[in-house]
Amino acid sequence: MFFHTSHRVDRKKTVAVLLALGALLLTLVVACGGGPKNKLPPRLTEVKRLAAEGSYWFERGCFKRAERYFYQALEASRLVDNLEEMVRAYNNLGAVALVQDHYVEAGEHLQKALEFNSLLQSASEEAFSLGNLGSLAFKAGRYQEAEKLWEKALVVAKKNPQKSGFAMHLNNLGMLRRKQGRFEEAESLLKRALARAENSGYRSTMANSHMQLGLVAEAQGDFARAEKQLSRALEIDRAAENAFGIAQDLEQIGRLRQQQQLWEKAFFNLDRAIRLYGILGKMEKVSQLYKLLEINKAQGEVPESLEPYEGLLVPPDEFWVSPLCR
Amino acid sequence: MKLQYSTMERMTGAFILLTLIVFLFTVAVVGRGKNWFRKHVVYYTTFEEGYNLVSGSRVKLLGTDIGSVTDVSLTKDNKVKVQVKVLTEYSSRIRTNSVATVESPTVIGSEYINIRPGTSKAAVIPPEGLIPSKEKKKLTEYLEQYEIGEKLAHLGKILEDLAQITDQLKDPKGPFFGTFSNLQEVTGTVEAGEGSLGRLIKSDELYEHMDAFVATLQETADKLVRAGASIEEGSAHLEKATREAPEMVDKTQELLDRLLKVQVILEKVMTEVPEISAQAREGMQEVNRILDSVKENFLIRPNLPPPPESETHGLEIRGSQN
Repeated sequence: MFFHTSHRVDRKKTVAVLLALGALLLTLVVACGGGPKNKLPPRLTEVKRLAAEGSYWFERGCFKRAERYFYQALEASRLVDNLEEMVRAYNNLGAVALVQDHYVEAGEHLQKALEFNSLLQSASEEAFSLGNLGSLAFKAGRYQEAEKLWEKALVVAKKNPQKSGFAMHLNNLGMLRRKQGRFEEAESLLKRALARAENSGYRSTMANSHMQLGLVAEAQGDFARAEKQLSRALEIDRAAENAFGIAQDLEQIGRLRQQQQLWEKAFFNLDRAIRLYGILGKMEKVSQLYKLLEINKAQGEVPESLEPYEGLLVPPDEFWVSPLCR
Repeated sequence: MKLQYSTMERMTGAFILLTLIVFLFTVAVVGRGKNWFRKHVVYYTTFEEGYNLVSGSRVKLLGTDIGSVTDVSLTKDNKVKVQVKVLTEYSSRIRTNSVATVESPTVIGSEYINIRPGTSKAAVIPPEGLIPSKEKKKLTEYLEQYEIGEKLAHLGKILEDLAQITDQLKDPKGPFFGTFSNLQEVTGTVEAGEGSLGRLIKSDELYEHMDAFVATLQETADKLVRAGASIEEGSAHLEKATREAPEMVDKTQELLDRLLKVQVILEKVMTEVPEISAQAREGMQEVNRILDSVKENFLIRPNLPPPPESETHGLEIRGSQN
């Protein structure tokens, strides 16, 4: 292809075009290169890294591993005397102890968190401490104490609703009301929790709200609504790849199917749930599900044999680690 | 006639020129790392065997890379001739009393030639000259070097002596218990006494403890003698196997040869572990420093994950059974 003479540009124009291109390129490089710089001092960065690592494993259900990181974060935060991170670490240690049913240890950590928080005056951390102490009381069967603590947590969390587990406390209270048979109150609290969680993008809390709403509907005999809510919870947990949540959702759907006497459908859900609990090493849950499968076999003749599940009942040795946590 | 270029032509020319510069720069950097542009001197050396040497095998001087093997061939008198190229700057150290040996890697890697430098009094070997070589050591040579056979025999004798001594000690009529009985006899009068010395000597507990102690000693010595016998038996088997299956034994010997070297190296390494650990830590710190500066680069920074954020966890009660 030949250019006509009139289209040719002289040297000055060529230089100008090249300079303009160079300037454009430089601007692009500088604009793209202006990423956020980590301004934190190195040790505090390390504390945050350890805490973030702990959170990662906590969310995957690998509590022992998470606990190790939270301990390291606590020790590292002591080195720089960072109260905020210390309180956070104590709260997280409390949560991780609680989820493993180590009640005494959980109580000690959470009390420590409150103690240090009296110096820090952080509303969000206080709300978490109170909320977790409420969960501890609930797990120990002290429902009135749990109620008071969750209500107090809600009041404190209102000061900083975005980062204080506000939706979580609402969910917990909603769950308690459901257990007390106060379904309308429960539904109202759970819907508020769901809206808040959706707003903040907390998928685990969203899934729990749906599950609790499903259980309210089930208790009221509205199986269709219950199924819809529980399926939505499963959908959210699947999207979040929350293994423990998925197992819980499958279990609840299985229980619902049993109530409806849909034995085959119940079996499909319970079978997946028990196997998943097995992988996660949740022995208590495995035993519960085995009993449900026994009922299913007796009533609906599915499964034909419980033999495949008997292996799951054997508790793993102390060195066993879930495949998800390796 | 003055040539005129269009903008497109100029830009294409600039692009080609830039690509060429980048290519040449890359070649220069890689070549520098690979010593392509450094002068080498060629030497030869011969061995009885090839020892898995191939073209490209490393050549080291006092454990430092100084060149590589360029060719391996067989001579008419059934020897293995190895051509090596050595960096010119090291050629002055390769002298008539230098010795080339084939070394095996400790665990992983391939065989290489290690050259022991010559003394300054010896003449420098000219290019394409022959470096004197020494064959790889065999197990028997190591045994000879470390006087293992002699040491094992000595150990066996010690064990036998120990067994003999404990037998004598165990014998109720022997010197030890004989003396002990005498002592009891002498102190017969004390036996009836009520004092603390009387109670002590009267006590059978002391005697029982001594008896148990000697029995344990005897048992240990017996075990040691048995172990010594097993070693001798193993050695006899090895000798027998040497006669019966030379090829297999050669391979076993080679393996043992390596194992023995590994053991020697391990012993050395064990003494150096703290130092190595300190060096590794320093190395990691250095790497961290480099990574930190790399992270500061404006081209890399945007691709890095965001700085870690810690968050607080709460426990939500899920399900219906809690």
